[in-house]
Amino acid sequence: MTKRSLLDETDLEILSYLSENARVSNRDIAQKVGVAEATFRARVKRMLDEKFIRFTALTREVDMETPTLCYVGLRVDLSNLTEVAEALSEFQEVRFVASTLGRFDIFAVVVVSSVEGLHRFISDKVISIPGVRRVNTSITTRTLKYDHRWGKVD
Amino acid sequence: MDDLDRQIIAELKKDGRQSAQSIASIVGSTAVTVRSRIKDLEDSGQLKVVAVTDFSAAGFDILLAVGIAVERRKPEEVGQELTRYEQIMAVNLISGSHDIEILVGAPDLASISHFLEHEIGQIDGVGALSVSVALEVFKYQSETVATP
Repeated sequence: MTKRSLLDETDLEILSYLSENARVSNRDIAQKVGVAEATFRARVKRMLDEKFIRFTALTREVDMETPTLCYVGLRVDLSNLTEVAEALSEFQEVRFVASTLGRFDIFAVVVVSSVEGLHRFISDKVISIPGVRRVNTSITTRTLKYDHRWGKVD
Repeated sequence: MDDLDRQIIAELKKDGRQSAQSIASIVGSTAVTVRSRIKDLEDSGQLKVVAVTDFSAAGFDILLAVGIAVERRKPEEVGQELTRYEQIMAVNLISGSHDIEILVGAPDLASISHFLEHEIGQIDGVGALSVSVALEVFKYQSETVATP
């Protein structure tokens, strides 16, 4: 599946531990993987330097009343595609933005504090971005899987 | 969660593996306090410090967002079957014209065709698919977990 992966089997094994808990000592993980601590450190440093991975903190949306994950599909003037995608990426509510082929020109995932919060986000922030023609929204009623191991690192 | 907790979390979001000492000097506390705050937040399930891997470095050069209409079956049952696939990164039940929205990673177009026809297409209850193929990913961050 990962035929063009830039990570080898040892990297992936190291990441299987670090993606569960990154605040474990170098020695502990090196021992579990069966490599020298220096090797472990060098591999992690390379993956960080090459921007293959980053270390971050996952938290729950404790400040939100009813955290609501929504999908936002946009039709835009194609000459403004990149500008609209970049403008959307700036919003803190937005978790995912891609330009796409198919049912939408831009596909985004946002987390808002409530259904009312979705309304405010769309009407106050999205509609006014120059080039946005049509906004299609869909509300998540239940999350069955979210794999936090993946993201865009840059 | 108080202000100190939030400051510590903000530092961990920037670099989850920085030392307690380095966080302490930035937030104006001690390494001992920082370590115990992190432990409390982790133990109460409010914080998880992790490595996030770039999807393309891991060999997922193509990302697809697929809306699935479910026929003659509960969407949740179909969704549970979909969670088993490693290359499906997210499965959400949604309101609207489709019942399930998934995010799929694949190394190339040929493997997507195979995956849609021989894996997803074989699941009982899967009806029409509505696909978006990502051309360029501008933002993809996992820093917050939306639902408990």
